[in-house]
Amino acid sequence: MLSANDYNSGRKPTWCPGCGDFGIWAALKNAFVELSLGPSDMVIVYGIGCHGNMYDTMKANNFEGLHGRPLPLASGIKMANHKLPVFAISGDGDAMGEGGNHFIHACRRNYDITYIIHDNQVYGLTTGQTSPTSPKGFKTKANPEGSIDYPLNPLTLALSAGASFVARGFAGDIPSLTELIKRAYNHKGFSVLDILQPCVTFNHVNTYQFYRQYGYKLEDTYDPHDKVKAFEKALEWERTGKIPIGLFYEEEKATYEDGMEQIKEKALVEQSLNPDAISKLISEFT
Amino acid sequence: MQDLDFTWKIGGEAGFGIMITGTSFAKVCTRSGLNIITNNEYPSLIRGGHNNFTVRAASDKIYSLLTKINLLVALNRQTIDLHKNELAKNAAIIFDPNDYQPQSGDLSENIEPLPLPLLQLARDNGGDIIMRNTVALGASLAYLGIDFKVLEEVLNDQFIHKGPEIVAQNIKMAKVGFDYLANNLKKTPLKVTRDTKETRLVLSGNEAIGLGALSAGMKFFTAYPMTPINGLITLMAENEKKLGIVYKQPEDEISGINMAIGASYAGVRAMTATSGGGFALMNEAFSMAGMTETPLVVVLGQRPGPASGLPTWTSQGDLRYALSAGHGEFLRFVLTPGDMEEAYFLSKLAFNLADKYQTPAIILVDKYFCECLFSLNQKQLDNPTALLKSVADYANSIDRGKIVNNPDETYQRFKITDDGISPRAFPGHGMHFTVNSYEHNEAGLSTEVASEIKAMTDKRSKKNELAQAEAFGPMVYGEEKADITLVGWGSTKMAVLEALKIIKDQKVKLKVNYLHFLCLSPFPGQNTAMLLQKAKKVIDVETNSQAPLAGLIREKTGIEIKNKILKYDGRQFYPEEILSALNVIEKE
Ligand SMILES: Cc1ncc(C[n+]2csc(CCOP(=O)(O)OP(=O)(O)O)c2C)c(N)n1
Ligand code: SF4
Ligand SMILES: [Mg+2]
Repeated sequence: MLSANDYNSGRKPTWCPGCGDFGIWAALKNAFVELSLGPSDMVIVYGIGCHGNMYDTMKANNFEGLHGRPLPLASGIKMANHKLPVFAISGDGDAMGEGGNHFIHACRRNYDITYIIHDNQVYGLTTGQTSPTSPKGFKTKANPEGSIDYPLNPLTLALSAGASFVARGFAGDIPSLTELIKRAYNHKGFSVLDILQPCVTFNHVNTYQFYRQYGYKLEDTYDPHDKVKAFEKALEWERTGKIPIGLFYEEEKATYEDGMEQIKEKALVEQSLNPDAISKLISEFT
Repeated sequence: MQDLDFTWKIGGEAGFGIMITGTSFAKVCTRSGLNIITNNEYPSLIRGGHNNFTVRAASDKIYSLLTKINLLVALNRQTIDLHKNELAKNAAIIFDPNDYQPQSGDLSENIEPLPLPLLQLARDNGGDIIMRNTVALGASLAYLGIDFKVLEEVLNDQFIHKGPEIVAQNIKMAKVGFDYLANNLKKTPLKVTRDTKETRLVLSGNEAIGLGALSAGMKFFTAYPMTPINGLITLMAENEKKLGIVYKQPEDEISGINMAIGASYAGVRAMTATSGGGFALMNEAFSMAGMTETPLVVVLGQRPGPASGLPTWTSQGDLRYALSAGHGEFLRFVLTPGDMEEAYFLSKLAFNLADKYQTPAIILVDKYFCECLFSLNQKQLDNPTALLKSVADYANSIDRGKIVNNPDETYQRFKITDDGISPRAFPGHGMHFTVNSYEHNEAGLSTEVASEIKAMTDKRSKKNELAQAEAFGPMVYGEEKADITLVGWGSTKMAVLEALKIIKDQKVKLKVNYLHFLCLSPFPGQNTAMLLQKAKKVIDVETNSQAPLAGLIREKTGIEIKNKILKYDGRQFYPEEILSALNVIEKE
């Protein structure tokens, strides 16, 4: 039997006390236990940021890549060995600033990858600059008088780019987040899980208290199969100030790997060289 | 067969299938027992501008194109204006008299005009303006006295995927041109009799690299479209299902290289390809391949920069860039093939070196090399020339380096070993492990401890020392003892070897040899120093303006090369240019 401790590398987390990343880490480990995914059974790819520093404390097949690039790395791994469960961990800057292009293309390709975004609306690791999800007027070291950019909405972006699973979680509610991560993993296709993650050091607007006050769980009656409704729900925060949390949208559709005929029988990594086919190809060049 | 050495050029407006006509011409020649080399010049646009395709075909072994044309096919007036100065003595020129009537003084007297109503012949036989090329192709081959059957076969192979009607129509057009010229020719045409003693492959640089990669077991390839590596994309995309490999077009080069690194980490041999601008985007991840010790092969096809530069022209301006790309210090291989045989074997070699040393390897080529066609005897891929033998022997055996198949609890991905190489494992096959683009300890976990940082840096540096033994070349062509020693790398080899051949054929007293560099990182310093110390007069030949090879040689050996022949107008060298520059320097 696995337990959450089986995923501890033995290193202590380096996050500020109270950081939302603790909650995400805990929920991830719980989900792995409940999904029976042992540390050697999967790959977790991380971006660079406070979120990414999780790799040091997490015991698993970890690949700590580059800022903004966890998705290309994860998709390369997936295409080479689609039998491996692949998780990608990003920050808001990582996902939508440096890695914005990869984000929309991963959504439209629908790789079977679980994408966890630690959305603290700020650049944590570089000690507090504005991020693409920072609210307008947000004051940081980079915008001492308040940002004049409008923020990106990760959910509507994911929906319009074609992600087949779009959800919002909250780092302050570990049991619900655990369930959401499990659902995201069990979804076949690209699952985007944007997690509201309080940064206790650099974001004094989007605090635990703020989310507890304005956040609410999506009603049981909400049907996550209607894309138009999902857009409406995803716009609710900016329209009304109320913050719905849960699964906004889920759609069953062929994954990217489903479309790859070459790997129908065997994962690419398990296939051996075919010298005859190559010799035949060479002799076609006459 | 009589000794034949013939250069054919077709020119016209972009968008009229000049490339395919040129390729057909080349293949008819090789199937008739001739050796060929080609070049195509085109602007970076789809319709309008001027395109031309040149084929040199010869019964002897040839290394490069020559400047003079023996038969010019002008699909428009501009072609004559642009290329009439390249016409050899007694050259002929095929043009459509309804387009253009040569005025006195247009062409010199020894040029034979071969007016051919291309468009009318095409139309009379159910074709349109696009078919003019094929009519001209048939006529050109009549001029060469080639057996029409060979052309039929080539057209069949070329168009069969479009259906038998298309094949039939092309053959008909070619026949019309062939017969028209044969009946109207005043002179007896050349006579090429068929010779099938050897099977000649016709490969572009892209194809030679790609076939090398495939036979090395490359399974995963990414490339964002960019001249001059698009041919690699076509090759891989057309064959991915058949061969059980993956070509993925990424959203950008950053993604492409990260995908390839991911695939390599997962256990497959992976490659990406680009040109300078795309490589700039790849640099951060290129460095990550060094830090995470992930094998990776990168094809870098140079074109003139800076910035967008000249997208469809050639250059060797990115040598220093390849040698120092990526932040931080890490080992990379830089291989610079100069012909198709070298491209095939060095491509295979690149995968072995990348795997063995767990680091990136660059195959550095250029637009001219990537897109020119070159014939080679198919047997050469099994029995390489003597100079390449030892490299090819190693390249032919697949060496995946140190691998642990089912690691246990004690496994450490970055274990400090005597040679600096830590056994690699693949995720999903045994114990989990951590790979890290941050500096790390043996377990892959991050470290900022001074002693650990130094130990891990030393571990990676050890690979540099070990890899030095892999350095090979420069290869010596020509006389052992020479009055003049030329040095160069990559595709300049072609023009230089042709120049050496001309010198030899003309029985000039001057003795010239050539040092061909095809592995520039690690640099074969000792061998270079030894060879250059013996040399009397050394001349550096490069297709760039800053002579980076000369700089590199000075850095590695202390030897300064003062004489340089440099070309940087977007065109490759011609042997005649090297010869005349050599004459000037020799007289100094
Ligand atoms: C190419 C590159 N640019 C900049 C950085 C510096 N950097 C490190 S983390 C980071 C931002 C992190 O923000 P986010 O992704 O939101 O993660 P968080 O720290 O908030 O979890 C930046 C800009 C980097 N590592 N690499
Ligand atoms: S800076 Fe913010 S995001 Fe980073 S560890 Fe501290 S609280 Fe967490
Ligand atoms: Mg952030």
